[in-house]
Amino acid sequence: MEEDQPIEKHKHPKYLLVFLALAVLTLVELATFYLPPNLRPVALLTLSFIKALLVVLYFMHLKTDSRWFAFIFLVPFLLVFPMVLVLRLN
Amino acid sequence: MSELVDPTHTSTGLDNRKLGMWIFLATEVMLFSALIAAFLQMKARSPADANQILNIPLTAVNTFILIISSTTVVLGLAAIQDGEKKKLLRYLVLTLLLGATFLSIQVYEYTQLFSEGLTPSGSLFGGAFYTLTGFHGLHVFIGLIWCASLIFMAAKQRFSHRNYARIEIFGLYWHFVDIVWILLFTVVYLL
Repeated sequence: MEEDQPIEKHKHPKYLLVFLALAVLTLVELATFYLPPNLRPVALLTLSFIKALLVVLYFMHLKTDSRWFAFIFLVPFLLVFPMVLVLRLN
Repeated sequence: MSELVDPTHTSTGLDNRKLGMWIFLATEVMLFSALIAAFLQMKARSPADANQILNIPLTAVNTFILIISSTTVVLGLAAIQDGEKKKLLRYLVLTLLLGATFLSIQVYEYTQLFSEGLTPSGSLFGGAFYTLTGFHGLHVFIGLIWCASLIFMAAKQRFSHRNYARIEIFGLYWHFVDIVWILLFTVVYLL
């Protein structure tokens, strides 16, 4: 029955553009070997954070989906940050 | 009477299946955070050049493979949302092949590292490395079984532009596995 009804086309994010950004950022990560050693950790962590953010926002649709899902996903980080801090102090 | 009940209606207005997956992913954040923290602690107590043995070009290829597989999953979801069932099937098969390639390369990497002396019980770094990457590999393996079951269902025309929640929920899981690898590639291999 549902096949008879016209299919409404969704408006999708530009997924291939997101893929391209992820691929370029991965190449930039590899290029960080040419950076001074003291700058590499900050550069690498920033790049991987941006890549993870792109996947969460566009591929997992948190940019447009319910804010509750974003809230649920972010809550554990309230536990993760103190853990990292304690480990650093140790 | 039963025709009047919408099975997807919830008091929160959120799809319970998606809600369940996001709660599960929140627990996975805690699991992998603990594993990464343990890895960093053990790495700090290992020789500074302990990770020099790792094959970065090979894992860079694997990173690209997993990013492409994340893209094929989301393109498959977009396809079925537009009612394109054959496209969905093609993208799911591609995802399965890419995921299997990722795991095969990881197994090859492990055999190479074993032959070079890096074993789980041989050093702190070895133990932490295999635990962390092994747990991720296990998640990929579970994802492959899940993907294979979706391919079976897609081949039987079980999905449509109105019925694609299972693809979306699998996608959430697969993208999360991709995110974990993005972080592991940096923390384990590049730093």
